[in-house]
Order: sequence, then structure tokens, then C-alpha cells
Amino acid sequence: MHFGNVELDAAFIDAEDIVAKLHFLDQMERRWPYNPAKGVSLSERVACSLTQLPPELQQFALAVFTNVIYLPDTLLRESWSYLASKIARDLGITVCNLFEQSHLLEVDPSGLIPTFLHENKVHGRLDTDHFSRLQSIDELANNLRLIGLSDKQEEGSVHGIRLAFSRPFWLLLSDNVLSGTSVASDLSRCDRLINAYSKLGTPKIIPVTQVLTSSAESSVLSSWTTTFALRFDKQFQVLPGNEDCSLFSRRDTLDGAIRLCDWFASQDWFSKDDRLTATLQKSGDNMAYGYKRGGWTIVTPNCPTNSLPILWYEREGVYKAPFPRIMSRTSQMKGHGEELTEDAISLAPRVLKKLGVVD
Amino acid sequence: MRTYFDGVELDAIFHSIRDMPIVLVATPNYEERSIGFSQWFLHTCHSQKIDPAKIFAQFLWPQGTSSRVDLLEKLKISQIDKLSEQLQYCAWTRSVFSYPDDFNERQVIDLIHEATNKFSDEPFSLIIDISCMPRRVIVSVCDAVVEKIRCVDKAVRPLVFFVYASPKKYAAMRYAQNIGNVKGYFSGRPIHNCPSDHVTALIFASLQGYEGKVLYDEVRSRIRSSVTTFVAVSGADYQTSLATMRANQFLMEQRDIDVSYYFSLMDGMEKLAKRIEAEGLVGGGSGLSRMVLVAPFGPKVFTLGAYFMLSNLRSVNDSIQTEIAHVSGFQYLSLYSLGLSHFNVFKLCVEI
Repeated sequence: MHFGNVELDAAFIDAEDIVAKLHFLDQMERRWPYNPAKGVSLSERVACSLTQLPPELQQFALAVFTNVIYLPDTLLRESWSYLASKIARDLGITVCNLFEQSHLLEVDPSGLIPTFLHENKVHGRLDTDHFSRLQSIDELANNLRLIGLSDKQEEGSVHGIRLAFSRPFWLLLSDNVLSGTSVASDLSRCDRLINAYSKLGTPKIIPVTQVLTSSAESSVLSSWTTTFALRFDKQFQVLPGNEDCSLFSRRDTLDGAIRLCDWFASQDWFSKDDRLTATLQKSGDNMAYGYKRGGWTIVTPNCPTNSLPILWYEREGVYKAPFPRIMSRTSQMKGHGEELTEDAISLAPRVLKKLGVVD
Repeated sequence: MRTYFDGVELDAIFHSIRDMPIVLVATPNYEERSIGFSQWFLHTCHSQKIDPAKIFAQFLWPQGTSSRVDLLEKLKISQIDKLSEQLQYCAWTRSVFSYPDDFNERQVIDLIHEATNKFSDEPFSLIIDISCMPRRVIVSVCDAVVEKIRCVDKAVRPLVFFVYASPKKYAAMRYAQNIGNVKGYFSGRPIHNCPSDHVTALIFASLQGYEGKVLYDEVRSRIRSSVTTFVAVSGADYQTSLATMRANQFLMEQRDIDVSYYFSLMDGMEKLAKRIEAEGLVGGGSGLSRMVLVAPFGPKVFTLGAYFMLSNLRSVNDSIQTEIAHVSGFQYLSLYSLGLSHFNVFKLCVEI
């Protein structure tokens, strides 16, 4: 039995229900395409990826590819109205009141706020008297810092700051919280800023995400109550010794998938790829199972690095994954978020005085 | 957008009912979740020292003849035996009725009235556990609730809660038995006998998937139709969601079917309410007779939502025919669900 140039074992295909799973994903993707794949069908992409792998590992790669948790944009978009209703219900207010009483922030600037408002049919997204333009912790910290450093009154900044602090709730939006480190860092900075500027207001911070992992929830986010639409646990992780993995029918398929991931990470074209240097460094390992040993098979509209690299890695002439990722970080350039936050905190007495909150 | 229900926290039941008398209605069967709420609720009533004279539990007991499976019957009896400790603290009754063969909806309505008449001269709370109630019976229970609310004075109207216990997991599905036609609960007739030219079908995808396909084929034979499939995407149990999506692959593949995802039961209710409300705003003029049909093949709470939302749609636009679809005569030869995960409580908020 052949699939492209790949030889397939019928018993394996049957045991792992490969045909049905691949057909399902293929159909899902036909309807809701994975855009970075530029119109090539999933079956074609899978066949192409398999031919670039050693024959003895191909069937395990096929098992991984067909066990992808495909979360298309349509599905994720619908989660925003659910999330708004859930938060409002938890707070005992209406959805309409939620938007009147909340300041919106997002973890990595990627247009989540406009989508969140649009999906909840909230008008006036660009009205600065309703929605502060300070939509990330960096912007918030930087504007506080600028007020502190500047001799003149920055009207726009002052208005944005006052508006944000006048809201009793700060919703920190994120699309995926997989390792949770970015969100945890933003939450910590947010918390410290609110403490330093408590005279302006003490909003309650509510982390909100479309996708959450149980590992992030129980580790870096353990002191927060995160509102989520989808939560994935160990059942969906391809990691060595993961007895809870339920993606495969046969135990030796998981073992084979682990061998495949280890082989992949050991290849020079992957381990020495300049574009990955910063990510590998931050991950703290060889990323055989994805960033911070995620081990996930989750594919969102841009496959996350926490998922297995065999799903998203692409290098001309060597390997092209079925779900190529458009990298959001390629340099080792670190953000200045922490410095901005520290500056804003140290300038708090001066800023509060300028704003007329303290004498 | 009105869902006619408020999703409330479990403990909020006690906060709402305060000193009111309580009528608890449940349908124990062979599933563990079928008695889970009764056990918890009666135990909590006892620990909160609620006067036992103010609590009455009615267990509706569907009894079939032709489709009786002795092993499941035995399991059903052992479930109610597990309630024996809690039942010491209140008056209760086991009300047998014929189901599925010789089902008479009036019999169920009368049984509900019998239970609720015990507290007819004061406001009381009516708590109905629909977790293991057959959908057809849920519709009759809704009829009984509406009749009750209509016939009593506003001052003594009951506070109505519906409870749905989500299972820990679903059993491996065995073999489908006696798959029948798609019928309408309101008319009692097969859907293909309903004379509407234009059908709007709102389908909640089921675990097995075949019901949606049967209905889709039926609906597509009309002059005009639009079909929406609501697919559950459970935050806590994505494996079941994935199984449901795979089972309903046919529906998800069809480009003429709109697919909508819901993330919780209440989210599903809200999304259903939006669609039904939009149907009410569509004007006539095409000359085609219209029907809005909800097929709650997924979790049973959508039968409740469909019942009240469609009733309202009829009241705002009497030119629209409405139906709740079901596939008749289907039996499982399995336990259907295992364990108990959590309770979902919906408070009925409707002026009738």
C-alpha cells in the first residue's frame, strides 16, 4: 500500500484509524483552510512531508499528522462571544456592562481586541472616550513612564491612563496559553503596575484565553483564575513516558512518535537553524517536542511553536511540515517590557502627583 | 436575545428557594448520573435542616414492555436503592408510566400535576432533573410546567429549575436498534408529512451522527431549506467533541450547512436563541409556507431551549410552523454514559 512514495502498513493504518482521521482533517481543512499552506490540500502536504522523513519513522509521522487538533479560525472566533458571556456571568453583570466596565489588553499585539469586540457586536471600538488605546502592558507602562519623564502634560496618555484605571476590570486577552510564560509575565507586570498606581484605581485582572493547557494552568498560572474556551490536558501531549496520552491506540505508536521527534531535533538543519536560535535558547532544550517541551499536536491558524516541530517546521529543500508556521520571533532581540514596567513603577510618585492624585 | 433560562450555580438553588416547599422530579435509570443530583440535593436539604415535610420527591419510572432489557432494569432498581438513605428524609413516590411503547403524554402531565398540587396554595420550587429523561418525556414535562404556571395565581407560581448532570464519559456505543423516521414532537407526525415548503433546520449534532444525516436528507427535499449544525466543543472534554465532529463529518462537509460551534450548554442555548430570534424577524411574502425545526440530537437541555424558544416564536409570528425533531424508536444496548462529572442548573425565566 502506498501514499505518495511512502510504503504503508495496513494493520497499522487500521489500528490507528488513519484513514478516517485523515479524511476528517482533510475535509475540515477544505472548508476552513490552513492559510499558510496556500491552498495545497492536507493529504498532499502530508504525503510530501512523509517522503522527507526516514522510512522507518514515516508511519509514526503519519499517526502524528492525523492526530492533529485542528482549531480553525471560525471555531476560535466563536469562542469570543462565549468567553464574554462566561466572564459576565461569573461577575454577575450583563455582557453589555462587561464592555462598559472593562479595559482590554492583549498579550502579544495581534489584533485580538478588535476581533473580541467585533464578535461580541460592540460598537465604538475606535472611540477613545470608551476604549483606551493603551492595549498592551508595554504601552501602558511606557505611557506612565513618559508622563513621569516629560515636563508637559501628554493629554492623550493621561486620558488613556485615567480611562484604563477607571475601569473595575482589566481583561488580558490571549489566543493560546500553552506554556503560559508570556501571559504569566504580563500578569505579573500588570499586577505590579496596579499596586504602584493603586491611587488611580485597583482594577481586577482577568486573564482570558481561547486555548489553555492544563500544564500552564497548574504551573505559571496557578495563582490566577483564567477564563478559557478550550483546555487541553496530558491526553493530547506527545511526550516520553506520558501514560495519559490518548492520541494513539497502540502504545508503540507513542514510542515511535517519540523516536521521530528525537530524530528530528537531532538534525543539524533544525538544531543549527539561525531562525530558531532565540527560541531554542528560551525553550532551554533541543525543542524535540516543541517550545518548552509542549508536546502538543494543536494547530491554530498559525501552528504554535509549543506543538511538535514536525508539524510546523519548514526549511527549503530539507523538510516542509504539513502546517508550516509563520514565525513571529526570529531575532534574539528581547523586549523592553520589564524595564518599562520597572521605570513606570519607580516613577509612580511623580506620575501620581502630576495627575493630581496625590499632593 | 432571550434564552428563557438563566444558568445558575448549584448552591444558588438553595439561595433562591429559601423557605419554599420543594418538589423534586427525576427519572432514575441505569446511568449513574440519573440519581446523582437527587442524592446530592436531598443530602444537602438534610444537612441544611430543611423541614422534610416541605420536600416531596417524585421519580418518574418509564416502563416498557416490548423493548424491555432485564439487565438494564436490574441496574435501574439498584440505582434507586442507592437513594434509600436520602429518601428517609422526605416523602416520595415512584410513578410508573408506559414508555416507549404506549406512551401517553397526558399520563406524564397528570403525574407532574399530582406532585405539584401538594403545594398549590403557596409559592413553591419545582426542580426537574432531566439528565436521564427521554426527550419525548421532557416535552411533556414542559407542557405540564406551562399548564401549571398558567393555571395558578401569579403570587403562587412555582420557581422552576431544570438540572442536567453531565456524565464523566460516554460508554462505547454498541448497536443502533430500530432506527425510525424523523418525527416532530409537537405534531406527533413524521417530518416528511409536514407540508412546509421552506424549512429552517437547526441541528444539534449527536454523538452517533446518523440522526443529523437522516434529517438533512429529509429537509433538502423541500423547495427551499437552510440548515445549521451546532457542534459542541467542550473545553473540558475535547475527546468527546472530536468524536462528535467525526461522527457528524457528513454534515460538517456540506457547504450548504452552516456550522456553529458552542463551548458550553448555556453558550449553545444563546446561539440557538439568536438563530430562532432571527427567524422571527424574517417577513413573509415569498408565498412559501415556513417551518423552523430544532433537532436537539445533542445534550437534552436543548430540548428545553427548543420548547420555550419555539413556543415564543409561534406567539410572535403565527405564520411559522415550528417543530422539535426526534428520531423515533431508537434504543441503545449499552449503558450510554458512565459516572458523573458536574451539574448544570437552568432557572426558567419566562412569562407565560
